[in-house]
Amino acid sequence: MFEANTFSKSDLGLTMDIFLILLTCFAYIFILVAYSAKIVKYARMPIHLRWELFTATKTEKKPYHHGLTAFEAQPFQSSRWRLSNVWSFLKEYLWFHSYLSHDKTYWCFLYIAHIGFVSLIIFQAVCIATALGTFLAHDQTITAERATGSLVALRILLAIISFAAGIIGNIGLMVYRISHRDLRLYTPPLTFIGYCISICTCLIGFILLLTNDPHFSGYVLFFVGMFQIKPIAVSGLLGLFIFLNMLHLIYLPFTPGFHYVTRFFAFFNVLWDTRPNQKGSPVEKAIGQVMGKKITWSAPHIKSGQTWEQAAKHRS
Amino acid sequence: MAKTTLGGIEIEVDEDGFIQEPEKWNKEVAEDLSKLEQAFPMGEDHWKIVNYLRDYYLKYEIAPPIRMLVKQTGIDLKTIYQLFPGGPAKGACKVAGLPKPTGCV
Amino acid sequence: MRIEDISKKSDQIIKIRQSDLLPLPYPYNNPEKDTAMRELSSDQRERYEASLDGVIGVGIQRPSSKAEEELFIHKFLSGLAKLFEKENNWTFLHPLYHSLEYCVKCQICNDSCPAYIASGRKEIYRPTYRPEVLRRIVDKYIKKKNRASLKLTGSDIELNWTLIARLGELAYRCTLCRKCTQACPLGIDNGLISHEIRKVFSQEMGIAPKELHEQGTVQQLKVGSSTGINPRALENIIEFMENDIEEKIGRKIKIPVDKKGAEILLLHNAGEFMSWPENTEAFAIIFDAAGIDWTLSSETVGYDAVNYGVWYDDIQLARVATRQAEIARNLGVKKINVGECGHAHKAMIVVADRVLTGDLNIPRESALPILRDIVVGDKIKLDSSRNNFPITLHDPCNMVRLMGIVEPQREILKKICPQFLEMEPHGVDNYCCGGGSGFAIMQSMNFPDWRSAVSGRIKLKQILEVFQDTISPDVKKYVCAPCSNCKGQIRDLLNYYNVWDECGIFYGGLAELIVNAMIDLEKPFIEWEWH
Ligand code: SF4
Ligand code: SF4
Repeated sequence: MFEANTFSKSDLGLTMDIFLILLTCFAYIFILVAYSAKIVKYARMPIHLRWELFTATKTEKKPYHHGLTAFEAQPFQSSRWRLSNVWSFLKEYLWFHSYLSHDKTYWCFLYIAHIGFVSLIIFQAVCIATALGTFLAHDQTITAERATGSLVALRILLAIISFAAGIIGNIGLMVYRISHRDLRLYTPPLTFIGYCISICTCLIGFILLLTNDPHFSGYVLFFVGMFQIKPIAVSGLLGLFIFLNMLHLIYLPFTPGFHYVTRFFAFFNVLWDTRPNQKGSPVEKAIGQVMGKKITWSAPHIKSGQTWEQAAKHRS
Repeated sequence: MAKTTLGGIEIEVDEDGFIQEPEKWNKEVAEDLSKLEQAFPMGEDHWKIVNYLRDYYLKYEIAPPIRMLVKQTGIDLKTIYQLFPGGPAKGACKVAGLPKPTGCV
Repeated sequence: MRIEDISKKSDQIIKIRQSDLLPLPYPYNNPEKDTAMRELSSDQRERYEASLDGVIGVGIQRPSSKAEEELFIHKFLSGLAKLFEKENNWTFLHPLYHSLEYCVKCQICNDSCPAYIASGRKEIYRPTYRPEVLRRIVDKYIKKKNRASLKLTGSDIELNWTLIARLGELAYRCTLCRKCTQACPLGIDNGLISHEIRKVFSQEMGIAPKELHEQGTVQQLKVGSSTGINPRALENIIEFMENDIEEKIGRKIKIPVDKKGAEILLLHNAGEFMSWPENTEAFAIIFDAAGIDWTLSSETVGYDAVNYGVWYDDIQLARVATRQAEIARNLGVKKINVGECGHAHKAMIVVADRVLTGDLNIPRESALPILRDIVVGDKIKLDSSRNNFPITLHDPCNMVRLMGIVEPQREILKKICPQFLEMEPHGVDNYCCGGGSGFAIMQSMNFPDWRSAVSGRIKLKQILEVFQDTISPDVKKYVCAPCSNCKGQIRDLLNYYNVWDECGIFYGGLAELIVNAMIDLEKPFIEWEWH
């Protein structure tokens, strides 16, 4: 069913294939760079005015401590890494605990959509891994059978799960967000575009699976072609699938979806930041540094150009 | 800030009717203020409270604690509320020409 | 309404109607017993911006010329830009970025908000409303995104004087209770957004409620206390307290002032001296009886624990905290303990930890655990039957949700109050009293009505609910609020709804209850006539 010969296509087809390969490379590099930049940005945030000791309160009903210094003297209880913190964090990661207890219908669609999303990623990883294997085998006579390889069952299973969950979850979320005023009012068009991309990708994936490419071998071959920098022709439908898939990747950094990572910093470096300012500690050093920064606030009670340290001692 | 006429003279008052120029305060001003505070006509007890507040303010630049006012004048809180429906802080202090109480009071 | 309506000229975006407000339990289920908010005078409306909700908290004056109007907008934008600079805003840069960029608008946090719920879910009070408006302004005017991406990200907004002024007022319709933050699975802090808007107004535009700034931090740094108490007045008040104590307990106690090298410097909210001296007296009595080595300070700022900067201005915050720490250092005390004041707890104990270095970094703790150790450790003789009336406990957000001091006060009450009842929800899940973030001291125009009718309404509901079984005014009941601000707010709430006459509910602090239970007192320490 598949052409192993890359040269039997029309010029237009070839241009399309090359475009898809470039788009794929771009999408992966883009998301990698964009997300790395965000991680670096959040990991390097300056020390902040700790606004609270949220650590005990977010996770436990009955914490008890004696105030700051005595609290700090109990490293086991005061550590931001203590088990109860980590556990309450994981609960949100693994089954979206807050959503579940707040609104079951919304949770249901959200969870299904995420299952779809995660399995789509694993599905891609499996396809790419298979392709890489084929490519590294230095076998010039690539055939459809080879490419289908041993992971084919897993591949198909993942594809079915991700497409089905993607369609149900995203349609559900879309309808839910449109039908509830307080959600609709706050949902930007981009979010709806995202739902549409996901739904289309999954729909086309399904059609591919049912008609054109039941084993998704063409998709694997596409990656093989990418690795050997010699495009292997893809069908129009598969091309569209790849295109939408990559569009979705490029779309992601423009959404708040990266909260999966930034929230780690928000909890452990901000809300649960219990690091005390002890003599000679890195915290004390960091405070010294930021207190030496110059402020340019311009209200009458502030002298612009003073450092924080000077401003704090200036009381006219 | 708005200007208003109290006791025949022009005095600056804040949004809530407290006079902003304490040095202009006199008996007539107080009586006019008491009309706004439904504390008119002012009897002996009214003046006892107002004078106590006034004296304390001149000495310490602040209103006395309410408990102190009650103890020193011998007039209990309930009666103060009857005399000055706005209460000791918002009613009596206003008539006595004190600035509005500030802070967590 | 739509989000962008905040910049459209109109009389008032929302109107607070009595019938929309959160229903209250008996006896206030009868609408006649409810109280209506005062309307502003037309003169006030003319001079100040009041087109948000017909309430004035900040009192933003209308511009008198076009140039003034433009300067206002310009200043707002320059201040907003500074919020995103490390130099100017290292203090909250991280949570600010995270909160603006990563909220997914799932609205899980909505139900936590006392103002939003009690108002009958008015859109502008929704915890995510302010952040959404700010995000749009930032996208369009600070990040200067192009038109296409503004459309895609739904950043439709038109910046004008009206919007900025309304936003300034709106930043003072959130009590910074941070219950919404606790609810958010992503760690987004919507309260922080209110705080940052307040900072732009104060630190760049020089606009803040005068109770917080001029008469607040500025007066505190200059005169000594935001109440206006100067050292001379303090001396007089302490003398009064000593006499009062002698009268009440039949024994003279010397209140230690400026005692060098004492173990503890006790910081009280100076509002206690003015309005609730029985609380500071109670501390003196308990500490004396338990033999604690403590002192007050008579230095300016050293006798007022408050730090209003924590609500609106980082620089004022740093100034007050630094001054307080200097006083403790000069006295050579071992540590500072903060009395019954929630925001001072957080400001001095937690927040100042990122300001004070070197010899200013003196150990700082709450005074509640000391009381707990005295009561639970039987250091003084107590008889719980003296507190035999229904009592409930209000949890001040700052010390409970935001610091985790949950148990000391409960251990005390369980030991000395046989009829102690928990309201629902309580502990770290409590609702704000409605007077947080400076509201309790904002006394001008119709703002006090708003905080009783709207932001405090849910607290009143909780209080009435917990006492339903004994709601008749014949049974005296006590709401224990170990925080001056909460006490002020609860006092105003009870007055606004005439709760003493209707239901016999009184309020007060924690230390008073302990002294009230001391067996060697001849007459009760709690005097109910101060309602
Ligand atoms: S702040 Fe958190 S809970 Fe509230 S809408 Fe945003 S993401 Fe949801
Ligand atoms: S901090 Fe409190 S008052 Fe402010 S928005 Fe959140 S829940 Fe509402």
